[in-house]
Order: sequence, then structure tokens, then C-alpha cells
Amino acid sequence: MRVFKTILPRFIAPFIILTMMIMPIQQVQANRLVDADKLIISFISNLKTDILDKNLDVEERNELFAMLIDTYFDVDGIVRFTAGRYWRTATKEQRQSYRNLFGIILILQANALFDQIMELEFIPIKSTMRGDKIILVNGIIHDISGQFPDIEVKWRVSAVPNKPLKIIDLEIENISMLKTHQDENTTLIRRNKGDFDAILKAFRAKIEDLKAIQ
Amino acid sequence: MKHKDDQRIYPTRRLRQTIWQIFCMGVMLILFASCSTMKEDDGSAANDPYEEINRKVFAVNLKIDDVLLEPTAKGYRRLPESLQVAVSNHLEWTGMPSIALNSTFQGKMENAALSVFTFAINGLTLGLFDLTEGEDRPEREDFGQTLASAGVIEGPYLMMPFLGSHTGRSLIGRAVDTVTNPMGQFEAIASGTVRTATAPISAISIRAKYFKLINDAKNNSLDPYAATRSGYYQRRRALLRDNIDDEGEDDDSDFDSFFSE
Repeated sequence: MRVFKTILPRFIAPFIILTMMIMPIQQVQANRLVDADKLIISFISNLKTDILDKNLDVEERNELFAMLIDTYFDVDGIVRFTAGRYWRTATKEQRQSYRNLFGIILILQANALFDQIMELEFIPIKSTMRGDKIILVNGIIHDISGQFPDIEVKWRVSAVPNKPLKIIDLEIENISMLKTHQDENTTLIRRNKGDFDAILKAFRAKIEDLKAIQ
Repeated sequence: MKHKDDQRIYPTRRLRQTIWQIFCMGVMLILFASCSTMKEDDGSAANDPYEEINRKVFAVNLKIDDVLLEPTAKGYRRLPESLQVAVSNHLEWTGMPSIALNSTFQGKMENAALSVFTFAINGLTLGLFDLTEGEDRPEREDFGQTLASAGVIEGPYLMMPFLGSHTGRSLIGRAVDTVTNPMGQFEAIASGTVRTATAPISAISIRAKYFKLINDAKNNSLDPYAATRSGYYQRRRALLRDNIDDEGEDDDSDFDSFFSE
């Protein structure tokens, strides 16, 4: 009887308390994973209904792309990441110009890929936590036209506690768009002896190129 | 007659092996000499001490792509899909003995057995049809990965004419794979047409498979060279994830620190 009265409670009580502490955390994490799935599905769905299904001209489409990017993507984080270590050395004005110009490039590039995006659909497969603040949403991009085989993709979602979930990266066949942009941008600045204005100049030239294509 | 042929082939093969050995030693020397010049804080650029030369070679490769590879791949994509799949299957099949060898070297016996099984079954159609579709696929293992498993350092980034992106280690691996692959030996004694056609067909097939991805890197990048180098390192490190504990670590610590602010 002593076992039930004194010994068991000594072991069971801490176990119950610990479980009660851990379970909500696990539940929150599980909810965040589901939310991350929903975020990607909602983004794709909005992309198709707001932009792709309508007959918009280039300017209107650009505006809608900008709105979608602001809603679904952590633009500030992406901008900081792609400038790499040079972000710290940039002035406030340079940072602001970088943010504006990089945002325009993202929109114009999305618009340049418009025809391809129209033919694609995303099928989520599995979401996993990576560290404390990143969720990886694995899935497949399927080409409805049947021109290309299915491609494995991973969406990286920033899941900072008490902040809304935001997309930060798309990884196709193990190539992260974000890391590639970071490598490109930092290489360009480094080759110009750390001059941050060099990347701004290159951005402006790229924007002209992309606008000319449109 | 057969005896005469053997006499003609074997000295050529020996010469080729010697050239490879000298080439590999040369690359090894470059590889070790450049270790001290590597920087740690510039992403994929940190391992690119020969960037200026590499950029020149890349420019030549881009020209070749513009003039030859891209138009040919464009035409190739118009061929019936079944034919493209058959070519792709055959090329994959010819790589199976190499996967089996390297998996064995790395102690991945299950993968080795799987590649032998796939090679044997698909061999019934000369690899043109994938009779093991739906089954587990053997993971790609090359000699570069074997060297990585043995602790050989990665070496510098090298942009090779026609062959594209490599690290010192992966280039040596590629050379060894070419020499040791039993299919390569088979091709060496096959007719000249087979021997000379394999490499270009492989290049066209791969270019066609990644047609839009490569065009995107070529036309939409701020710096196509940096984008190509970055993409190569990311793919290579994903392949090496199970070969080396501290390389291509499968975590998101880079992102974590940036997006937690």
C-alpha cells in the first residue's frame, strides 16, 4: 500500500507535470506545421486566382505580384539575407535602395516566368521543423502541361514565435533560391572591393533588361 | 585479326591511363597548393581561388552553350518523349556499375546490391527501358563522394572547358570513374561511333532535362557565373550529406540566425 501512497506519486507527479509542460509545446509545433502547409497552398491559390486567371496587363500584374509578395514573404529578412555580410556595412539609404530595387527585380522575374508558373501546381507532402524558427514544407511541383517531369521542391517558412508565418525561400532540386541570390550579390560586391553601390547599379541595369523583355 | 586489334587497343588504353594519372597528380598538387588561400566568409566564393581563370573558361562554355548545346537541346526536346526517356534511362544505366563500385568502397552494400540488381534487370533492354520503375532507386555515388568519405579535402572550385563545374576532388573522382567504370572499358573496345557519341548525347540529354533552369540561370541572373557556382555547390553538398558529417550539414542554421531577428 505504501507503494501507492508515497512512492508512485513521487515518480508519477513529476512525469505528469513534465508531460503537461511538453504537450502544449508539441501541439503548438504541430499547429505551426499545418499552418505552414496552409500558407503555401493559400499563396499558390491566390497566385492563380488573383493573377493567373485574370487577363491583366503587365503593370496590373506587377502590382498584384508586389501585394502577394508583401503578404506572403518575409521581404525584410530576404533582403537582409541576400546582402550577406555587406548588409552591416551599408548605409541606411543604401539599404532602402537595395530593398526597393531587389523587390522590383523579384516582381519582374516572377512576371518573366509568368507563362511557366501558369502550368504548374504544388502538391505538399511533408512539413518538418528545422531548428527553432524554420519550417520546411516539402512537396512536388507538377507540370499540368506534362512537358516536364515532377520536381521536388522545398519551401522554407520562417516561424518566429509570436510572429506570422512568412515564406523565405524556395528550394528546387536542392538549390535554394535565397542562397543563390546571396552568393550572386555578395560576389558582385566583393569583386567591386566591397562597394555596396555596385550592387545597386547592377540591380538598376537588370531592371532595365527585365523591363525591356516585357 | 582479333589479336591485332588487341595490340592496337591495349597500348592506347595504357597511355590513356598514364595521362590520367599524371593529370590527377597535377590536379592534386593544385588542390593542396590552394588550400591556404581559401577564405571562410564568402559562401561558395570562398573556395574559388582561380576565379579569374574560371570566369574566362565559363565565358567560353557559355558561348559553346549558345552556339551548340542550347539549340541542339531545343531540337532534342522536340523528339518523342519516349525516345528522350529511353536515352536518359540508358545513360543512367551505364552509370550503375560505377555506383556499385563506389557504394562498395564506401561500405554501402545495400546500395551496391540495388545498383547491381537495377543494372542486371534493365540490362535486358540495354538500359533503354526502366523495368524497375516503382522500386527503390540506388543513390548516386561517385568516386568524388568516395574520396570525401575517406576524408580527402574538397579542393578549389574549377570550371572545366566543356565539363563545367567541379571541385578538385570531384574532378579527380570523375577521372577515376571514367577509367574504372566497366561500361567505359566496354565502350573502349566498342566501335568508334559508340565511343565518340556517348559524351555529347549525355551533355544534350542533361541540357534538355534542365533546359529552363539553366536558361534561367544564364539569362536572368545578375552574375551567371556566381549563380552556376552556387548551384553546383548546393547540389554537390546535398549529395555529400551522408559522406561527411560536417559538410553540407542538413540544418538551417544559416537561415535561423538571419530570420530570428
